[in-house]
Amino acid sequence: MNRPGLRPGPGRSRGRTARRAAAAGVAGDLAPMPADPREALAPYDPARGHGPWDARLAAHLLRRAVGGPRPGEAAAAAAEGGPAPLLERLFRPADPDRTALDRRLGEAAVAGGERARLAAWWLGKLLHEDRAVGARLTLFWHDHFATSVGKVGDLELMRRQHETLVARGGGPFGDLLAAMARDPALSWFLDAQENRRGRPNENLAREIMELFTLGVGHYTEVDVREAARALTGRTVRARRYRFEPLHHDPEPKRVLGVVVHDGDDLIRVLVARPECPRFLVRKLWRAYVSPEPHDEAVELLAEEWREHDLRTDWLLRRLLGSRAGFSAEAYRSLVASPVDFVVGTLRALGARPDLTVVERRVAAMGQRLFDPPGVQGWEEGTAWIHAAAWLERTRFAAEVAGRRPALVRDARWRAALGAAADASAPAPARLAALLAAFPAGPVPAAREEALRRVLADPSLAPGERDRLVLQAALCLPETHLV
Amino acid sequence: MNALLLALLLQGIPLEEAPAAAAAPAVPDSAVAAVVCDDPAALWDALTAGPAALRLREAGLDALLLERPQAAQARMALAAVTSGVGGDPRAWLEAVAGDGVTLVLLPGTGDDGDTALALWARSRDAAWRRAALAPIVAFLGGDASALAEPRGELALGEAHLAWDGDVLVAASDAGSLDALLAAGGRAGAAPDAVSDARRATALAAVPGHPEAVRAWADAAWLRRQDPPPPLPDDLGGSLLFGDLHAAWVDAPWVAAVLTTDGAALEARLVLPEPDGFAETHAPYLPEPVAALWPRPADALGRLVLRRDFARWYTARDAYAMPEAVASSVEGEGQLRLLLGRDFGADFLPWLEPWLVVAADLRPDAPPLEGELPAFALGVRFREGTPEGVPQSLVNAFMAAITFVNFENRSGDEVFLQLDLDPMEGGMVYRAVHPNVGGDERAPFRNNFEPELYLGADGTVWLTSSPGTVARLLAAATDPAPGDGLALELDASSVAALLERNRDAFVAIRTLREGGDVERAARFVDRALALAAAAPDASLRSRVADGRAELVLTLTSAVGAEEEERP
Repeated sequence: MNRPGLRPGPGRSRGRTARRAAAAGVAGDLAPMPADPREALAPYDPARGHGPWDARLAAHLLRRAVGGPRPGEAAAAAAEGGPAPLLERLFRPADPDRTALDRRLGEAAVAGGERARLAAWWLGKLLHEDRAVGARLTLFWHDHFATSVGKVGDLELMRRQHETLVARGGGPFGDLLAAMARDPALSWFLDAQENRRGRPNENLAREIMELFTLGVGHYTEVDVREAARALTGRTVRARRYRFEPLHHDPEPKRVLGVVVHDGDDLIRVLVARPECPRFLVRKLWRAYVSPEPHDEAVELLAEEWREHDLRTDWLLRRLLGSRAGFSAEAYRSLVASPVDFVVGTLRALGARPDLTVVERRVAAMGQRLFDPPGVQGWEEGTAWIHAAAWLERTRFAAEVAGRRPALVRDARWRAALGAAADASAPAPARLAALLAAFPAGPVPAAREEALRRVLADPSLAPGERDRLVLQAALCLPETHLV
Repeated sequence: MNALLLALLLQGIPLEEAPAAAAAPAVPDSAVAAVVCDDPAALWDALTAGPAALRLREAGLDALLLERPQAAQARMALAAVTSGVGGDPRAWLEAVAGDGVTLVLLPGTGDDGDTALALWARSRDAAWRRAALAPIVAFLGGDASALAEPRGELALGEAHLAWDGDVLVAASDAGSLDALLAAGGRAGAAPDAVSDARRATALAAVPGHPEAVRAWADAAWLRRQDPPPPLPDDLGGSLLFGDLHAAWVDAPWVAAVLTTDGAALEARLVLPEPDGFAETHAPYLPEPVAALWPRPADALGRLVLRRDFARWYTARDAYAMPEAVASSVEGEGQLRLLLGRDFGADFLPWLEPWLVVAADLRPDAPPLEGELPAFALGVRFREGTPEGVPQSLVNAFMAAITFVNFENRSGDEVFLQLDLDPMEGGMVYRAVHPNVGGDERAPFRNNFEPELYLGADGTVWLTSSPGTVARLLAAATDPAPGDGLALELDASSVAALLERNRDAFVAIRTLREGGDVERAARFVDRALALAAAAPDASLRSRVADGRAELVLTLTSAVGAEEEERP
């Protein structure tokens, strides 16, 4: 996710996004984001004239919530008149049987001794996810509390951290932060074991304030030192969190003007600060709505969120179902991460791929799950699209279009694409069916014309035409935006 | 058909020294391969009603196979072919070829260069044969009533069929039929190919096994189909099978025989030993000596290899492709560089020509861990080895641990640390994970904790996992073959390993199946059924007595158990 703290001006930035979207021809008939913050956060209701409700918007919601629609899912949701029923399904409680099974599979993946296998396990959860507070939100938190197995050196600790993020990711943020402040993997990653009375290590304290709760500019260096003292005594032993009173500094500390005694005090003080919900709402907005948050709406939402005990599931549902979430500025405004692109493509095809192959592709595009490049997580947005990553994305597109069995079997490919894969269907119907799947929405006329030419090229064999046109659709810029 | 030619054919030269009583035909001098079975019905019995078949049924594998759609198609086809004898495949074989069958592969006469097939079969009952063949002839559009004649000939498309009395001759084209007949006429000339076939099948023949299948092929023709590299292109392959490879690249012929014996099925591949082989490939032929080597009770398998390692290593460019030799010292891995550096010079010359590799499983391996089998590699120093030589092996071991630590560094933590442990009769150099956090051990590190054992008697064991040395030293010993290569696999231990780790395999397979646990479980259960049905296996390779041979033996224990039951 993007580093916090670089905030564009309110009206100017929103106008720029809308213009970009309109120029790209992807926003279509969507309404602009309301300037009034209450209207921007109001539930999107087509019946009240907020805008259309169709398969394109259902796919948009599914992309943001769970990575993308499965075959037929967007069309079915479009028939429901608005996003409310789909949101209801997306926020239902977890299936305990599935959770237990996932845990067992995760433990077995750890036993394999390879990060890639554990990452493949997670990708499987992303691929089959049907809850907004499931695997994709966990990925958001993994990026927020970025921890790398490269330093932790223990896959089991990474799996346990993942379990904590899954269990608490949708609940009150204060609880999640308290759990993460005692998480052995994160503690080890941020050198908690070296933070002792008399010789504090500020790493954990600094990142809790800068990256996890407040953001740069809302604390002083003195606060960091005092917070580090409050966290002394926390360490990792036998792969478990442990508090060692001998190494704890028992003297009172003053952080942000408040006296604290230990780490739990510190967490309470930080979460109580008004900057904390603002910081997190802004970050979640960038991950789930648009790269340029509506400043007034962020302020308003931060206040409301506090009233809801800082429960992330409440906040996420509010964002995803808001008018802002379905505005022209939001539609196709986020660059798809490797996980978004790969998982979204495979979900759209209803594929059950070899997850180890999927993991290799995602990693080659630059996103090694459980191994973010640093404490700040992945640099996202347009940073995902560079020459090497684009080559990998086109390679994946070619493999999918060529129906590599490890990724998608021919029968599923045909079933998912319907008319698009039916050589006997008329070319316009085939193109419409293809664009309904990739990128699941309109594309500029010039691009559509280019695809039509490939589809009608008599010099190509029919199978080759199918392959090329699907590969081209997967390489359209719109397909790499969520 | 020319009746005179047919008569000549029926008097064709039998394969010399072959145990069959019935007269088999001569092999045409143009033939490139021939397969002989004197009693196909007995072979059918051995394969379908023997212990191996029982074991397949016990494991439920036959039911799994019969579930497949291809099985239904195959059964329908078999029923159609055998409909003339009540749908009984065994009766069909007996009716058509009860007194033996010979298949001959001939170079094709057409432009496409394909080979043609010719068959000679002798029936025990001509009337039965007519009944057996009638549905096939009718299906192919021939006049099945012609089979009622005591002798005759039919063209069925390009294929040709001829019979006289109890003898049947068939070929995929008329030219091949003529070739088979002509071979009978010219058999007295005994061309080279025929004499090779005689010699080969005689070498491969196993007295007392009428159900045996004997085969011969022109090795030069086979090499033209799939040219082998002049030398093995892999150093490990050169060490294991360099002798067989050398025999194969020059061999004029190759013979194979398949026999069944109670619970065992044996496949034997025989090549003539090249002239001067002993002089030019001496590292593969140290003096045969019997020796005792340990075999842990639940070992998965054991490989015993007898080679003169130092001579092989220092002259390996004569036995392997240059690329393979180069990769042994110039590969990417630092560990490989380390091992390639001083291996030959330091201690290989002082090793007895034995190498033993045993695969074992730690008995207390937790099931979910999916623990790898432990591997052990054993060698012995010769008597009189200078004191410093074993120490150079220890030095190499310690340097290897350093490299492993470098490759697996994790923060400030050491991956493996070296420990010494005096044992009775020797010393163990043990590389262990530092147990910094108490009793728990990071599972991702698996069970890789190598040990090096130096025995006072010169025995050396290098093992992959803790406790393996102690188990090897405590294990019973048994004689190992004194020459060549012997690999033995214990099917029940392999099956037990798979069964114990079923959950782990299902979980791993689930990733391959896109997260579909049920599908993964079905896959693993089929593999388990296959493993449960698998027989013990042994592979033996040696050059001796004028031939190079590779013998694969599959032994099913079900038969013995069945017999023991009251």
